[in-house]
Amino acid sequence: MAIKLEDLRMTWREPDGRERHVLDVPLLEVPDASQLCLVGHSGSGKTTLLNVIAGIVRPSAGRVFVGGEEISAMGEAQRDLFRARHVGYVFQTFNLLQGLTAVENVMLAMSFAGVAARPARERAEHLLDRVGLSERRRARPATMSVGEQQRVAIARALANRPMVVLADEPTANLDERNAAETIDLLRETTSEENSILLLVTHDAEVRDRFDDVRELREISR
Amino acid sequence: MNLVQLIERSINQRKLSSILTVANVALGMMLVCAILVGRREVDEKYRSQSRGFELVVGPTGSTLQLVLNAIYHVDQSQGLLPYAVLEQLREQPEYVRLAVPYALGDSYRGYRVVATDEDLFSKHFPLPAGEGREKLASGRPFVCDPAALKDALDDLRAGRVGTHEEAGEEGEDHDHDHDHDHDHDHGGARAEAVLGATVAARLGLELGDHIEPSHNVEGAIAHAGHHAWEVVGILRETGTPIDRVVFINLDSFYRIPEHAGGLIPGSNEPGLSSVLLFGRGAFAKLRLYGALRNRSDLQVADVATEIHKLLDLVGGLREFFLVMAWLVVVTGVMSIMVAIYNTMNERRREIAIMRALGARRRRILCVIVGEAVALGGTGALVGTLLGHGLLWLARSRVESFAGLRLDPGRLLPEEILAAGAVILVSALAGLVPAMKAYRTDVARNLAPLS
Repeated sequence: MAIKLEDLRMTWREPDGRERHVLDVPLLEVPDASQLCLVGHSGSGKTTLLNVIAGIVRPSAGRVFVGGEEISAMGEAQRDLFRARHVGYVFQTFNLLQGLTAVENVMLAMSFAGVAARPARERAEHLLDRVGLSERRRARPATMSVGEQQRVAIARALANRPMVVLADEPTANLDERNAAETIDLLRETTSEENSILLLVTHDAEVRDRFDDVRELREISR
Repeated sequence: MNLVQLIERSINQRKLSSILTVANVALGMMLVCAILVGRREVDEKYRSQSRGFELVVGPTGSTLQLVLNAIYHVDQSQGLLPYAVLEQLREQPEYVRLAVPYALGDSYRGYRVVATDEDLFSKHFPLPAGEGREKLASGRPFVCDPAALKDALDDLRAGRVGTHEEAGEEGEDHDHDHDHDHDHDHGGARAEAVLGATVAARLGLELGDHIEPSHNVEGAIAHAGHHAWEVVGILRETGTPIDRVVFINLDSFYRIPEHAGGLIPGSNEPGLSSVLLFGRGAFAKLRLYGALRNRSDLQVADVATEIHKLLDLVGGLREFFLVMAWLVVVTGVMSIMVAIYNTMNERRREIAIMRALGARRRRILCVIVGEAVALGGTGALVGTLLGHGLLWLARSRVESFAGLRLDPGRLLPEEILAAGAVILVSALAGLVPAMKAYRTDVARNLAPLS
């Protein structure tokens, strides 16, 4: 299994000292090259689940395996490097760096994985070409449409040929047409790169575009 | 995207704030460099330019002013010393190796004219080095005819002021610098001039040209008659105030009617502005100094001591300005910390994005500290260049005011240390916001903005 969660629990401590259980997943297995859509309402812990899989946060309990590696047992620096090399992330608000051009935003992800500048540039240009932005390589995010920005974000997520691409409500800020195009693009490109796509959403139209759809509450205790 | 590129993009993204921050640091650094270089130049040049000079004898007043006037050719002469003092000094050859008279009062197109005798060309007179023609880049030393000088002094002492002058005046109109056949034989004395290297170069004067100085140092009063001195020699360049002096023979000086004012008030005794005295060894110098110090009609200044006193005097002031300049630098460096710290809110999201892409905390820390170092380093570099530029702009004014020729192109080790200190302190200042960046909560700052 490319992703495996065992007895995953995530608990936040509220300001008043009480504990709040955000996630409680006994088992989740995602096979290689699959495309899974996880559906849940706002506040159900979808983003937290992705952050745990990405190694951004550590679970309060349980084990997380990605590509056979137990990232929940890794130290922070190891998780950072693992995330840089093996995990791509597409955010709801694109999260591009405003001071960088489209190509630089894509290259940035590769620099954290230790890819040299020349191959990084070639790969970034190839990916921007793939997502239809070859003419907008030098554009800065502020001059791009939201659809274009999300396509740059997709190119950035694929930059390091990741095992897993995590997409957190990637269409929430897009209109219907852009949303459909973005989902199709994500599915096509992750398939081409042999990456797992794990997408979380509460949008019914997005859900309808996936074959493998699971409700977060179904996989939770 | 390496670290340097990331820092550069981050600075570019906040261009105005970055420029203002750099300007803050540069302003302080400019002052520090100007003061450091100025201090070193003043110290070295004041010491080196007075090297070889021993004692200066002059009228009573300030010993420092006497030295500044006689050695650096700045400041006003304090009055007159009886010519007889020079004669008395020269009567003590067992102690006095050389006594060079200086009579001031004229100027030529802003350059001081000093009347003296042929001892100026003695090998014991330190500037320029050498003897006789060796001191000259071209031409020959002027001739100071002892007989003509004696006649002039006798005439003055006898109250026959300017008696030979009328014979020489022709009353023709003429330009200052052009050859003309009017009087340059002042009452039997040859009127010859030897120019400092700067005077010759800046005024384009050559051998055989004639110059016509004006009375008083500011050159405000023209001589009543036409008195022209032929340029017979040009001194080798020394890089000292002597380069900016016109030397004329003393016998011709005393033949000018206006210089009858050079008589000691209330007497018919001709006066001198100062006498540069060189002892026959250290012991003789000490004896001369001790003996002359006890006289109430004159004063004697030890050149080295006066320069030391002068540098001590201005040293405190310079240190004060240096401390002020450093405070400006510190304020500038603090502004780096404030500028970066104030942008931390907008940076948190960027930092969280980079962390989500796999950037390690240490790398984020390096970006922020690197940005502070880049701003501080740029400020230090720009400030150093501006400081030297400031000195370059001020050099001609300093040369005319203080007799110092600054070398603004010279980089001091202290400046490199100062720039290093600025960079180090900038890095430390950058650590404060960098630690905040280091602790950025990734998950919280990735959340969509409401």
